[in-house]
Amino acid sequence: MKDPNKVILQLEHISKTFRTRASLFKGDQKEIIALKQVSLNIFKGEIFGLVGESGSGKTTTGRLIVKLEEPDHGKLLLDGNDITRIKGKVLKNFRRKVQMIFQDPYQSLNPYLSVFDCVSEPLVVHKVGNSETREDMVRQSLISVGLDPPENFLYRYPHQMSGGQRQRIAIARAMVLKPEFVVADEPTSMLDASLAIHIFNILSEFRKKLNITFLFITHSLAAARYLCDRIAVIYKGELVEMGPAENIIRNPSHPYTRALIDAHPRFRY
Amino acid sequence: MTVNNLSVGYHTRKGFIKSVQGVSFALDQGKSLGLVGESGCGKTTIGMAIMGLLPDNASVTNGKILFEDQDLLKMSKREIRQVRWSKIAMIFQAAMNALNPVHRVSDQISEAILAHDTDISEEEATKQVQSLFQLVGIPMDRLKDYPHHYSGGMKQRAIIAMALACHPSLIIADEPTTALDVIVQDQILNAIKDFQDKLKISVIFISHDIAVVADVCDNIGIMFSGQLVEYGRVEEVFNLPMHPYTKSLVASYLTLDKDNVQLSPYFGETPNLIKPTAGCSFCQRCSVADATCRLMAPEWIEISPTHKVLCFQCK
Repeated sequence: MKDPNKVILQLEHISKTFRTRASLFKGDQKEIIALKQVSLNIFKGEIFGLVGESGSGKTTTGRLIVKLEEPDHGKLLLDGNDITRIKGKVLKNFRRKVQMIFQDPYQSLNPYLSVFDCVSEPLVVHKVGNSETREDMVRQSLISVGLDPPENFLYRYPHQMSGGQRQRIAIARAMVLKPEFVVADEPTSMLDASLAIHIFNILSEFRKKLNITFLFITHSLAAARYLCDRIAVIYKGELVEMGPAENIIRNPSHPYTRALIDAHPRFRY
Repeated sequence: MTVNNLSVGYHTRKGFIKSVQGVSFALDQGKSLGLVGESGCGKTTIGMAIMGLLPDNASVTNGKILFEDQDLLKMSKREIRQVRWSKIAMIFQAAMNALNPVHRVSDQISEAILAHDTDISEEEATKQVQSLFQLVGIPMDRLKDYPHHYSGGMKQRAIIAMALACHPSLIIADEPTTALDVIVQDQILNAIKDFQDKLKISVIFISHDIAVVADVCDNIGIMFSGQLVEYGRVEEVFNLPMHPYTKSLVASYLTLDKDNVQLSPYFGETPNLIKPTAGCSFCQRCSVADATCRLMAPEWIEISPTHKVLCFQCK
Protein backbone atom coordinates (compact mmCIF):
# COMPACT_ATOMS: atom_id res chain seq x y z
CA MET A 1 0.00 0.00 0.00
CA LYS A 2 0.93 3.63 -0.29
CA ASP A 3 3.96 4.58 1.73
CA PRO A 4 3.94 8.37 2.23
CA ASN A 5 7.54 8.35 3.38
CA LYS A 6 9.06 6.83 0.30
CA VAL A 7 9.01 8.68 -3.00
CA ILE A 8 9.66 6.24 -5.85
CA LEU A 9 9.44 8.58 -8.81
CA GLN A 10 10.16 12.30 -9.04
CA LEU A 11 9.57 14.62 -11.96
CA GLU A 12 11.35 17.96 -11.52
CA HIS A 13 10.37 20.82 -13.82
CA ILE A 14 10.00 18.59 -16.87
CA SER A 15 9.45 20.41 -20.19
CA LYS A 16 9.07 18.88 -23.60
CA THR A 17 8.55 20.56 -26.94
CA PHE A 18 7.93 18.80 -30.22
CA ARG A 19 8.98 20.41 -33.48
CA THR A 20 7.21 19.71 -36.73
CA ARG A 21 9.44 19.19 -39.70
CA ALA A 22 9.75 22.24 -41.90
CA SER A 23 7.47 21.86 -44.87
CA LEU A 24 8.96 21.88 -48.35
CA PHE A 25 6.81 24.81 -49.44
CA LYS A 26 6.41 26.84 -46.32
CA GLY A 27 9.76 26.83 -44.64
CA ASP A 28 8.44 27.46 -41.15
CA GLN A 29 8.88 25.07 -38.28
CA LYS A 30 6.13 24.86 -35.72
CA GLU A 31 6.75 24.23 -32.07
CA ILE A 32 4.25 22.31 -30.03
CA ILE A 33 4.71 22.59 -26.31
CA ALA A 34 3.68 19.25 -24.85
CA LEU A 35 4.77 19.76 -21.24
CA LYS A 36 5.59 22.93 -19.31
CA GLN A 37 7.51 22.68 -16.04
CA VAL A 38 5.75 19.58 -14.77
CA SER A 39 6.78 18.52 -11.27
CA LEU A 40 5.32 15.67 -9.29
CA ASN A 41 6.22 12.98 -6.77
CA ILE A 42 4.78 9.49 -6.80
CA PHE A 43 4.98 7.42 -3.62
CA LYS A 44 5.90 3.77 -3.37
CA GLY A 45 2.84 1.50 -3.65
CA GLU A 46 0.46 4.21 -4.75
CA ILE A 47 -1.82 4.35 -7.77
CA PHE A 48 -1.46 7.84 -9.14
CA GLY A 49 -3.96 9.10 -11.72
CA LEU A 50 -3.09 11.57 -14.45
CA VAL A 51 -6.27 12.98 -15.97
CA GLY A 52 -6.66 15.24 -18.97
CA GLU A 53 -8.23 15.61 -22.39
CA SER A 54 -6.64 14.39 -25.60
CA GLY A 55 -3.61 16.50 -26.45
CA SER A 56 -3.07 17.64 -22.87
CA GLY A 57 0.32 15.94 -22.57
CA LYS A 58 -0.67 13.01 -20.39
CA THR A 59 0.63 10.33 -22.77
CA THR A 60 3.86 12.32 -23.29
CA THR A 61 4.37 12.27 -19.51
CA GLY A 62 3.98 8.50 -19.52
CA ARG A 63 6.37 8.06 -22.43
CA LEU A 64 8.97 10.27 -20.73
CA ILE A 65 8.78 8.18 -17.57
CA VAL A 66 9.38 4.88 -19.39
CA LYS A 67 12.09 6.64 -21.41
CA LEU A 68 10.53 6.40 -24.82
CA GLU A 69 11.10 10.17 -25.00
CA GLU A 70 13.67 12.48 -23.45
CA PRO A 71 12.74 15.75 -21.78
CA ASP A 72 14.20 19.05 -23.05
CA HIS A 73 14.56 20.39 -19.53
CA GLY A 74 14.16 19.03 -16.05
CA LYS A 75 15.07 15.90 -14.16
CA LEU A 76 13.57 12.44 -13.65
CA LEU A 77 14.48 10.45 -10.56
CA LEU A 78 13.64 6.83 -9.77
CA ASP A 79 14.39 5.72 -6.22
CA GLY A 80 16.46 8.87 -5.85
CA ASN A 81 18.70 8.07 -8.84
CA ASP A 82 18.81 10.47 -11.75
CA ILE A 83 17.48 8.63 -14.82
CA THR A 84 17.12 11.62 -17.14
CA ARG A 85 19.89 10.68 -19.53
CA ILE A 86 20.75 7.06 -18.74
CA LYS A 87 22.03 4.80 -21.51
CA GLY A 88 23.31 1.28 -22.17
CA LYS A 89 23.38 -1.20 -19.30
CA VAL A 90 21.84 1.19 -16.81
CA LEU A 91 18.94 1.81 -19.20
CA LYS A 92 18.41 -1.91 -19.74
CA ASN A 93 18.35 -2.48 -16.01
CA PHE A 94 15.88 0.40 -15.70
CA ARG A 95 13.59 -1.18 -18.31
CA ARG A 96 13.36 -4.27 -16.15
CA LYS A 97 11.98 -2.25 -13.29
CA VAL A 98 9.64 0.03 -15.21
CA GLN A 99 6.99 -1.26 -17.59
CA MET A 100 4.19 0.19 -19.64
CA ILE A 101 0.69 -0.97 -20.60
CA PHE A 102 -0.49 0.67 -23.81
CA GLN A 103 -3.90 1.95 -24.78
CA ASP A 104 -4.83 -0.20 -27.73
CA PRO A 105 -4.42 -3.96 -27.33
CA TYR A 106 -5.20 -4.33 -31.04
CA GLN A 107 -1.97 -2.52 -31.89
CA SER A 108 0.34 -3.19 -28.98
CA LEU A 109 0.63 -6.98 -29.40
CA ASN A 110 2.79 -8.49 -32.13
CA PRO A 111 0.40 -10.52 -34.30
CA TYR A 112 3.13 -13.06 -35.11
CA LEU A 113 3.81 -14.01 -31.50
CA SER A 114 1.75 -16.57 -29.60
CA VAL A 115 0.67 -15.68 -26.08
CA PHE A 116 3.53 -17.75 -24.65
CA ASP A 117 6.15 -16.06 -26.86
CA CYS A 118 4.73 -12.65 -26.16
CA VAL A 119 4.58 -12.97 -22.38
CA SER A 120 7.93 -14.77 -22.11
CA GLU A 121 9.77 -12.30 -24.36
CA PRO A 122 10.66 -9.88 -21.52
CA LEU A 123 12.07 -12.84 -19.54
CA VAL A 124 14.25 -13.85 -22.49
CA VAL A 125 15.43 -10.29 -23.11
CA HIS A 126 16.43 -9.83 -19.48
CA LYS A 127 17.79 -13.39 -19.16
CA VAL A 128 15.50 -14.29 -16.30
CA GLY A 129 15.17 -18.02 -15.53
CA ASN A 130 15.61 -20.91 -17.96
CA SER A 131 13.20 -22.48 -20.44
CA GLU A 132 11.41 -24.50 -17.74
CA THR A 133 11.05 -21.85 -15.08
CA ARG A 134 9.99 -19.35 -17.74
CA GLU A 135 6.96 -21.42 -18.70
CA ASP A 136 5.97 -21.53 -15.07
CA MET A 137 6.35 -17.76 -14.72
CA VAL A 138 4.25 -17.19 -17.83
CA ARG A 139 1.51 -19.44 -16.46
CA GLN A 140 1.53 -17.62 -13.13
CA SER A 141 1.33 -14.29 -14.90
CA LEU A 142 -1.65 -15.41 -17.00
CA ILE A 143 -3.48 -16.71 -13.92
CA SER A 144 -2.89 -13.42 -12.14
CA VAL A 145 -4.72 -11.52 -14.90
CA GLY A 146 -7.64 -13.95 -14.81
CA LEU A 147 -6.75 -16.04 -17.87
CA ASP A 148 -7.28 -19.31 -16.09
CA PRO A 149 -6.51 -22.12 -16.94
CA PRO A 150 -3.47 -20.77 -18.81
CA GLU A 151 -3.24 -23.86 -21.08
CA ASN A 152 -6.27 -22.53 -22.96
CA PHE A 153 -4.40 -19.39 -23.93
CA LEU A 154 -0.67 -20.22 -24.17
CA TYR A 155 -0.62 -21.09 -27.85
CA ARG A 156 -3.24 -18.71 -29.12
CA TYR A 157 -2.45 -15.71 -31.29
CA PRO A 158 -3.78 -12.16 -30.76
CA HIS A 159 -6.34 -12.43 -33.58
CA GLN A 160 -7.95 -15.40 -31.82
CA MET A 161 -8.78 -13.34 -28.75
CA SER A 162 -11.23 -10.63 -27.76
CA GLY A 163 -10.15 -7.10 -26.87
CA GLY A 164 -10.44 -7.77 -23.15
CA GLN A 165 -8.34 -10.92 -23.41
CA ARG A 166 -5.70 -9.09 -25.44
CA GLN A 167 -5.45 -6.30 -22.92
CA ARG A 168 -4.99 -8.87 -20.17
CA ILE A 169 -2.19 -10.48 -22.22
CA ALA A 170 -0.56 -7.04 -22.46
CA ILE A 171 -0.86 -6.69 -18.68
CA ALA A 172 0.54 -10.21 -18.12
CA ARG A 173 3.51 -9.26 -20.32
CA ALA A 174 4.14 -6.06 -18.36
CA MET A 175 3.85 -7.88 -15.02
CA VAL A 176 5.87 -11.01 -15.74
CA LEU A 177 9.10 -9.30 -14.65
CA LYS A 178 7.46 -8.13 -11.41
CA PRO A 179 8.34 -4.49 -12.10
CA GLU A 180 8.45 -1.78 -9.46
CA PHE A 181 6.67 0.86 -11.44
CA VAL A 182 4.07 0.54 -14.20
CA VAL A 183 2.69 3.22 -16.48
CA ALA A 184 -0.81 2.26 -17.66
CA ASP A 185 -1.83 4.54 -20.52
CA GLU A 186 -5.62 4.45 -20.91
CA PRO A 187 -5.64 0.66 -20.60
CA THR A 188 -9.43 0.43 -20.80
CA SER A 189 -10.48 3.12 -23.23
CA MET A 190 -11.10 0.47 -25.90
CA LEU A 191 -13.08 -1.81 -23.58
CA ASP A 192 -16.64 -2.02 -22.24
CA ALA A 193 -17.63 -0.77 -18.80
CA SER A 194 -17.78 -4.08 -16.94
CA LEU A 195 -14.54 -5.27 -18.56
CA ALA A 196 -12.88 -1.99 -17.62
CA ILE A 197 -13.74 -2.53 -13.96
CA HIS A 198 -12.40 -6.06 -14.20
CA ILE A 199 -9.09 -4.64 -15.48
CA PHE A 200 -9.04 -2.01 -12.70
CA ASN A 201 -9.58 -4.73 -10.12
CA ILE A 202 -6.68 -6.73 -11.61
CA LEU A 203 -4.36 -3.70 -11.36
CA SER A 204 -5.47 -3.05 -7.77
CA GLU A 205 -4.76 -6.68 -6.95
CA PHE A 206 -1.19 -6.32 -8.28
CA ARG A 207 -0.65 -3.32 -6.09
CA LYS A 208 -1.91 -5.20 -3.05
CA LYS A 209 0.10 -8.38 -3.67
CA LEU A 210 3.35 -7.09 -5.16
CA ASN A 211 3.28 -3.49 -3.95
CA ILE A 212 3.69 -2.24 -7.51
CA THR A 213 3.35 1.51 -8.03
CA PHE A 214 1.15 2.65 -10.91
CA LEU A 215 0.81 5.79 -12.95
CA PHE A 216 -2.66 5.49 -14.42
CA ILE A 217 -3.29 7.77 -17.39
CA THR A 218 -6.91 8.37 -18.32
CA HIS A 219 -9.37 10.93 -19.62
CA SER A 220 -12.08 9.72 -17.25
CA LEU A 221 -12.21 11.30 -13.82
CA ALA A 222 -14.61 8.57 -12.71
CA ALA A 223 -12.13 5.84 -13.62
CA ALA A 224 -9.32 7.71 -11.88
CA ARG A 225 -11.45 8.12 -8.79
CA TYR A 226 -12.31 4.42 -8.73
CA LEU A 227 -8.71 3.25 -8.97
CA CYS A 228 -6.40 5.96 -7.66
CA ASP A 229 -5.17 7.30 -4.35
CA ARG A 230 -4.17 10.66 -5.76
CA ILE A 231 -5.07 12.46 -8.97
CA ALA A 232 -3.30 15.16 -10.95
CA VAL A 233 -5.26 17.06 -13.60
CA ILE A 234 -3.23 18.15 -16.60
CA TYR A 235 -4.34 20.83 -19.05
CA LYS A 236 -2.36 22.04 -22.07
CA GLY A 237 0.88 20.60 -20.71
CA GLU A 238 0.56 22.04 -17.21
CA LEU A 239 -0.57 20.42 -13.99
CA VAL A 240 -3.52 22.48 -12.80
CA GLU A 241 -4.54 20.53 -9.74
CA MET A 242 -3.23 17.66 -7.66
CA GLY A 243 -4.45 15.94 -4.51
CA PRO A 244 -6.25 12.96 -2.96
CA ALA A 245 -8.78 11.55 -5.48
CA GLU A 246 -11.89 12.09 -3.38
CA ASN A 247 -10.90 15.70 -2.57
CA ILE A 248 -10.45 16.60 -6.22
CA ILE A 249 -13.90 15.26 -7.11
CA ARG A 250 -15.68 16.79 -4.12
CA ASN A 251 -13.91 20.14 -3.98
CA PRO A 252 -12.33 20.95 -7.31
CA SER A 253 -10.51 24.24 -7.11
CA HIS A 254 -9.42 24.77 -10.71
CA PRO A 255 -12.09 25.78 -13.27
CA TYR A 256 -10.83 23.15 -15.72
CA THR A 257 -11.34 20.37 -13.18
CA ARG A 258 -14.83 21.70 -12.59
CA ALA A 259 -15.50 21.67 -16.34
CA LEU A 260 -14.35 18.03 -16.49
CA ILE A 261 -16.69 17.10 -13.66
CA ASP A 262 -19.61 18.97 -15.23
CA ALA A 263 -19.09 17.32 -18.61
CA HIS A 264 -19.10 13.85 -17.12
CA PRO A 265 -22.38 12.22 -18.16
CA ARG A 266 -24.83 12.17 -15.27
CA PHE A 267 -26.44 8.83 -14.65
CA ARG A 268 -29.32 9.78 -12.45
CA TYR A 269 -30.83 6.35 -11.93
CA MET B 1 -39.91 2.29 -38.39
CA THR B 2 -40.32 -1.26 -37.09
CA VAL B 3 -37.84 -4.08 -36.87
CA ASN B 4 -39.49 -7.47 -36.65
CA ASN B 5 -37.79 -10.63 -35.48
CA LEU B 6 -34.54 -9.71 -37.25
CA SER B 7 -31.83 -12.38 -37.42
CA VAL B 8 -28.48 -11.81 -39.07
CA GLY B 9 -25.48 -14.09 -39.28
CA TYR B 10 -21.98 -14.12 -40.71
CA HIS B 11 -20.50 -16.99 -42.72
CA THR B 12 -16.97 -17.63 -41.50
CA ARG B 13 -14.51 -20.46 -41.90
CA LYS B 14 -15.37 -21.70 -38.44
CA GLY B 15 -19.09 -21.78 -39.10
CA PHE B 16 -22.15 -19.58 -39.20
CA ILE B 17 -22.10 -16.93 -36.48
CA LYS B 18 -25.59 -16.00 -35.33
CA SER B 19 -24.80 -12.41 -34.61
CA VAL B 20 -28.35 -11.07 -34.21
CA GLN B 21 -31.13 -13.40 -33.10
CA GLY B 22 -34.78 -12.42 -33.31
CA VAL B 23 -34.56 -8.74 -32.46
CA SER B 24 -37.77 -6.68 -32.61
CA PHE B 25 -38.40 -3.05 -31.77
CA ALA B 26 -40.40 -0.08 -32.99
CA LEU B 27 -39.38 3.54 -33.27
CA ASP B 28 -41.85 6.40 -33.72
CA GLN B 29 -41.07 9.49 -35.78
CA GLY B 30 -39.03 11.99 -33.80
CA LYS B 31 -38.20 9.55 -31.01
CA SER B 32 -34.89 8.04 -30.09
CA LEU B 33 -33.88 4.52 -29.22
CA GLY B 34 -30.65 3.46 -27.56
CA LEU B 35 -29.09 0.07 -28.18
CA VAL B 36 -26.65 -0.85 -25.42
CA GLY B 37 -24.43 -3.87 -25.04
CA GLU B 38 -20.84 -5.02 -24.93
CA SER B 39 -18.69 -5.31 -28.04
CA GLY B 40 -19.70 -8.22 -30.24
CA CYS B 41 -23.31 -8.28 -29.04
CA GLY B 42 -24.66 -7.40 -32.47
CA LYS B 43 -25.63 -3.76 -32.02
CA THR B 44 -23.58 -2.46 -34.94
CA THR B 45 -24.82 -5.36 -37.11
CA ILE B 46 -28.39 -4.14 -36.58
CA GLY B 47 -27.37 -0.65 -37.69
CA MET B 48 -25.63 -1.99 -40.76
CA ALA B 49 -28.64 -4.19 -41.64
CA ILE B 50 -30.93 -1.15 -41.51
CA MET B 51 -28.54 0.80 -43.73
CA GLY B 52 -28.23 -2.13 -46.15
CA LEU B 53 -24.48 -2.04 -45.64
CA LEU B 54 -23.84 -5.55 -44.35
CA PRO B 55 -20.62 -7.10 -45.69
CA ASP B 56 -20.76 -9.85 -48.31
CA ASN B 57 -20.37 -12.71 -45.86
CA ALA B 58 -23.40 -11.64 -43.84
CA SER B 59 -26.89 -12.87 -44.48
CA VAL B 60 -30.26 -11.95 -43.03
CA THR B 61 -31.89 -15.26 -42.12
CA ASN B 62 -35.18 -13.95 -40.86
CA GLY B 63 -37.22 -10.88 -40.13
CA LYS B 64 -38.39 -7.60 -41.57
CA ILE B 65 -37.22 -4.02 -41.34
CA LEU B 66 -40.23 -1.84 -42.10
CA PHE B 67 -39.44 1.79 -42.81
CA GLU B 68 -42.30 4.05 -43.88
CA ASP B 69 -44.31 0.87 -44.72
CA GLN B 70 -41.65 -0.61 -46.96
CA ASP B 71 -39.52 -3.63 -46.15
CA LEU B 72 -35.93 -2.47 -46.54
CA LEU B 73 -34.73 -6.07 -46.77
CA LYS B 74 -36.86 -6.75 -49.88
CA MET B 75 -35.55 -3.73 -51.77
CA SER B 76 -33.15 -4.03 -54.65
CA LYS B 77 -29.71 -2.48 -54.33
CA ARG B 78 -30.87 0.40 -56.45
CA GLU B 79 -33.98 1.09 -54.41
CA ILE B 80 -32.06 0.98 -51.18
CA ARG B 81 -29.60 3.50 -52.56
CA GLN B 82 -32.49 5.93 -52.98
CA VAL B 83 -33.38 5.53 -49.32
CA ARG B 84 -29.90 5.39 -47.87
CA TRP B 85 -28.50 8.77 -46.92
CA SER B 86 -31.55 10.69 -48.19
CA LYS B 87 -33.94 9.09 -45.68
CA ILE B 88 -31.74 7.02 -43.40
CA ALA B 89 -28.29 8.31 -42.57
CA MET B 90 -25.55 7.00 -40.35
CA ILE B 91 -22.98 8.62 -38.08
CA PHE B 92 -20.10 6.20 -38.06
CA GLN B 93 -17.85 5.10 -35.27
CA ALA B 94 -14.31 6.50 -35.54
CA ALA B 95 -15.11 9.70 -37.39
CA MET B 96 -11.45 10.39 -37.95
CA ASN B 97 -11.38 7.66 -40.56
CA ALA B 98 -14.74 8.40 -42.16
CA LEU B 99 -13.66 11.59 -43.92
CA ASN B 100 -11.66 11.56 -47.12
CA PRO B 101 -8.28 13.16 -46.30
CA VAL B 102 -7.65 14.61 -49.76
CA HIS B 103 -10.85 16.64 -50.12
CA ARG B 104 -11.93 19.77 -48.32
CA VAL B 105 -14.58 19.07 -45.67
CA SER B 106 -17.16 21.40 -47.20
CA ASP B 107 -16.69 19.80 -50.62
CA GLN B 108 -17.29 16.35 -49.21
CA ILE B 109 -20.57 17.42 -47.67
CA SER B 110 -21.82 19.34 -50.69
CA GLU B 111 -20.90 16.35 -52.83
CA ALA B 112 -23.29 14.24 -50.73
CA ILE B 113 -26.02 16.84 -51.22
CA LEU B 114 -25.45 17.08 -54.97
CA ALA B 115 -25.38 13.31 -55.42
CA HIS B 116 -28.88 12.96 -54.01
CA ASP B 117 -30.52 16.11 -55.27
CA THR B 118 -29.76 16.74 -58.92
CA ASP B 119 -31.89 19.88 -59.17
CA ILE B 120 -29.78 21.84 -56.77
CA SER B 121 -27.03 24.21 -57.91
CA GLU B 122 -23.56 24.09 -56.47
CA GLU B 123 -24.01 27.48 -54.86
CA GLU B 124 -27.16 26.39 -53.08
CA ALA B 125 -25.39 23.26 -51.90
CA THR B 126 -22.62 25.39 -50.42
CA LYS B 127 -25.24 27.51 -48.66
CA GLN B 128 -26.79 24.40 -47.20
CA VAL B 129 -23.39 23.26 -45.98
CA GLN B 130 -22.96 26.61 -44.25
CA SER B 131 -26.24 26.26 -42.40
CA LEU B 132 -25.37 22.68 -41.46
CA PHE B 133 -22.05 23.85 -40.03
CA GLN B 134 -23.91 26.44 -38.03
CA LEU B 135 -26.27 23.79 -36.70
CA VAL B 136 -23.49 21.48 -35.51
CA GLY B 137 -21.30 24.34 -34.33
CA ILE B 138 -18.29 24.45 -36.64
CA PRO B 139 -16.98 27.99 -37.23
CA MET B 140 -17.55 29.29 -40.79
CA ASP B 141 -13.88 30.03 -41.40
CA ARG B 142 -13.12 26.33 -41.13
CA LEU B 143 -15.32 25.44 -44.13
CA LYS B 144 -12.47 25.19 -46.59
CA ASP B 145 -10.14 23.22 -44.33
CA TYR B 146 -9.01 19.67 -44.91
CA PRO B 147 -9.92 16.94 -42.40
CA HIS B 148 -6.42 16.87 -40.89
CA HIS B 149 -6.82 20.51 -39.86
CA TYR B 150 -9.74 19.49 -37.65
CA SER B 151 -9.61 18.17 -34.10
CA GLY B 152 -11.35 14.88 -33.27
CA GLY B 153 -14.44 16.65 -32.00
CA MET B 154 -14.69 18.86 -35.10
CA LYS B 155 -14.39 15.84 -37.40
CA GLN B 156 -17.20 14.20 -35.48
CA ARG B 157 -19.28 17.35 -35.94
CA ALA B 158 -18.52 17.34 -39.66
CA ILE B 159 -19.69 13.72 -39.85
CA ILE B 160 -22.91 14.70 -38.10
CA ALA B 161 -23.36 17.57 -40.56
CA MET B 162 -22.87 15.10 -43.40
CA ALA B 163 -25.46 12.73 -41.96
CA LEU B 164 -27.93 15.62 -41.75
CA ALA B 165 -27.13 16.89 -45.25
CA CYS B 166 -29.99 15.21 -47.12
CA HIS B 167 -32.67 15.81 -44.46
CA PRO B 168 -33.06 12.19 -43.40
CA SER B 169 -35.95 11.12 -41.19
CA LEU B 170 -33.84 8.53 -39.37
CA ILE B 171 -30.24 8.72 -38.20
CA ILE B 172 -28.28 5.79 -36.88
CA ALA B 173 -25.50 6.98 -34.59
CA ASP B 174 -22.99 4.21 -34.00
CA GLU B 175 -20.81 5.03 -30.95
CA PRO B 176 -20.48 8.67 -32.07
CA THR B 177 -18.56 9.77 -28.99
CA THR B 178 -16.51 6.72 -28.02
CA ALA B 179 -13.17 8.05 -29.23
CA LEU B 180 -13.66 11.50 -27.68
CA ASP B 181 -12.97 12.88 -24.24
CA VAL B 182 -15.75 13.92 -21.89
CA ILE B 183 -15.86 17.62 -22.66
CA VAL B 184 -16.12 17.06 -26.41
CA GLN B 185 -18.53 14.18 -25.81
CA ASP B 186 -20.78 16.51 -23.88
CA GLN B 187 -20.75 19.02 -26.76
CA ILE B 188 -21.50 16.35 -29.39
CA LEU B 189 -24.36 14.89 -27.36
CA ASN B 190 -25.83 18.38 -27.01
CA ALA B 191 -25.47 18.89 -30.77
CA ILE B 192 -27.35 15.63 -31.39
CA LYS B 193 -30.12 16.50 -28.91
CA ASP B 194 -30.34 19.91 -30.51
CA PHE B 195 -30.87 18.78 -34.09
CA GLN B 196 -33.25 16.09 -32.93
CA ASP B 197 -35.34 18.75 -31.21
CA LYS B 198 -35.25 21.17 -34.11
CA LEU B 199 -35.65 18.80 -37.03
CA LYS B 200 -37.76 16.03 -35.41
CA ILE B 201 -35.47 13.31 -36.66
CA SER B 202 -35.65 9.78 -35.24
CA VAL B 203 -32.37 8.50 -33.88
CA ILE B 204 -31.07 5.02 -33.16
CA PHE B 205 -28.19 5.49 -30.78
CA ILE B 206 -25.71 2.63 -30.50
CA SER B 207 -23.38 2.77 -27.51
CA HIS B 208 -21.84 0.79 -24.71
CA ASP B 209 -22.10 3.71 -22.32
CA ILE B 210 -25.41 3.60 -20.46
CA ALA B 211 -25.10 7.15 -19.19
CA VAL B 212 -24.81 8.49 -22.74
CA VAL B 213 -27.93 6.59 -23.79
CA ALA B 214 -29.81 7.60 -20.65
CA ASP B 215 -28.99 11.19 -21.50
CA VAL B 216 -30.12 11.17 -25.13
CA CYS B 217 -32.80 8.48 -25.62
CA ASP B 218 -36.51 7.91 -24.98
CA ASN B 219 -36.39 4.12 -25.24
CA ILE B 220 -33.63 1.68 -24.62
CA GLY B 221 -32.88 -1.87 -25.70
CA ILE B 222 -30.25 -3.81 -23.75
CA MET B 223 -28.53 -6.40 -25.92
CA PHE B 224 -26.59 -9.47 -24.93
CA SER B 225 -25.06 -11.96 -27.39
CA GLY B 226 -27.28 -11.04 -30.31
CA GLN B 227 -30.56 -10.79 -28.42
CA LEU B 228 -32.50 -8.00 -26.86
CA VAL B 229 -32.79 -8.95 -23.20
CA GLU B 230 -34.60 -5.90 -21.86
CA TYR B 231 -36.52 -3.18 -23.59
CA GLY B 232 -38.51 -0.20 -22.46
CA ARG B 233 -38.66 3.47 -21.60
CA VAL B 234 -35.32 4.76 -20.34
CA GLU B 235 -36.68 5.86 -16.92
CA GLU B 236 -38.41 2.55 -16.34
CA VAL B 237 -35.47 0.38 -17.35
CA PHE B 238 -32.94 2.28 -15.28
CA ASN B 239 -35.15 2.93 -12.28
CA LEU B 240 -36.13 -0.72 -12.11
CA PRO B 241 -33.61 -2.80 -14.04
CA MET B 242 -34.90 -6.38 -14.19
CA HIS B 243 -32.50 -8.48 -16.22
CA PRO B 244 -29.35 -9.54 -14.32
CA TYR B 245 -27.26 -8.19 -17.20
CA THR B 246 -28.91 -4.77 -17.04
CA LYS B 247 -28.41 -4.78 -13.29
CA SER B 248 -24.71 -5.51 -13.73
CA LEU B 249 -24.39 -2.71 -16.29
CA VAL B 250 -26.04 -0.23 -13.96
CA ALA B 251 -23.97 -1.47 -11.00
CA SER B 252 -20.66 -1.23 -12.84
CA TYR B 253 -21.19 2.32 -14.00
CA LEU B 254 -18.59 4.64 -12.48
CA THR B 255 -20.13 7.86 -11.27
CA LEU B 256 -18.72 10.98 -9.73
CA ASP B 257 -21.63 11.81 -7.46
CA LYS B 258 -22.19 8.54 -5.61
CA ASP B 259 -19.86 6.99 -3.04
CA ASN B 260 -16.81 5.21 -4.34
CA VAL B 261 -17.25 1.50 -3.64
CA GLN B 262 -15.38 -1.57 -4.76
CA LEU B 263 -17.29 -3.16 -7.64
CA SER B 264 -17.23 -6.75 -8.77
CA PRO B 265 -19.00 -6.95 -12.10
CA TYR B 266 -20.29 -10.25 -13.45
CA PHE B 267 -17.60 -11.36 -15.70
CA GLY B 268 -17.21 -14.06 -18.27
CA GLU B 269 -16.25 -14.65 -21.83
CA THR B 270 -18.69 -13.83 -24.61
CA PRO B 271 -20.91 -16.84 -25.34
CA ASN B 272 -20.25 -18.96 -28.41
CA LEU B 273 -22.48 -17.61 -31.17
CA ILE B 274 -21.82 -20.47 -33.57
CA LYS B 275 -23.43 -23.06 -31.31
CA PRO B 276 -25.59 -21.11 -28.86
CA THR B 277 -26.70 -23.01 -25.77
CA ALA B 278 -30.26 -24.27 -25.53
CA GLY B 279 -31.03 -22.13 -22.52
CA CYS B 280 -30.56 -18.46 -21.74
CA SER B 281 -27.36 -17.04 -23.25
CA PHE B 282 -26.58 -15.10 -20.08
CA CYS B 283 -26.57 -18.29 -17.93
CA GLN B 284 -22.80 -18.57 -17.50
CA ARG B 285 -22.46 -15.12 -16.01
CA CYS B 286 -25.74 -15.05 -14.14
CA SER B 287 -25.84 -15.28 -10.36
CA VAL B 288 -29.53 -16.21 -10.16
CA ALA B 289 -29.73 -18.80 -12.96
CA ASP B 290 -31.24 -22.20 -12.16
CA ALA B 291 -31.78 -25.45 -14.09
CA THR B 292 -34.66 -24.06 -16.16
CA CYS B 293 -32.47 -21.21 -17.36
CA ARG B 294 -29.84 -23.63 -18.60
CA LEU B 295 -32.27 -25.82 -20.54
CA MET B 296 -34.98 -23.59 -21.93
CA ALA B 297 -34.89 -20.42 -23.93
CA PRO B 298 -36.36 -17.56 -21.86
CA GLU B 299 -39.55 -15.78 -22.84
CA TRP B 300 -40.54 -12.13 -22.73
CA ILE B 301 -42.18 -10.98 -19.53
CA GLU B 302 -44.08 -7.74 -19.47
CA ILE B 303 -43.27 -5.56 -16.48
CA SER B 304 -45.44 -2.72 -17.74
CA PRO B 305 -46.88 -1.91 -21.18
CA THR B 306 -43.64 -0.03 -21.93
CA HIS B 307 -41.10 -2.28 -20.23
CA LYS B 308 -40.33 -5.95 -20.92
CA VAL B 309 -37.58 -8.38 -20.08
CA LEU B 310 -36.32 -11.71 -21.44
CA CYS B 311 -35.65 -13.68 -18.26
CA PHE B 312 -37.20 -16.59 -16.34
CA GLN B 313 -36.21 -15.19 -13.00
CA CYS B 314 -38.22 -12.00 -13.37
CA LYS B 315 -41.69 -13.50 -13.06
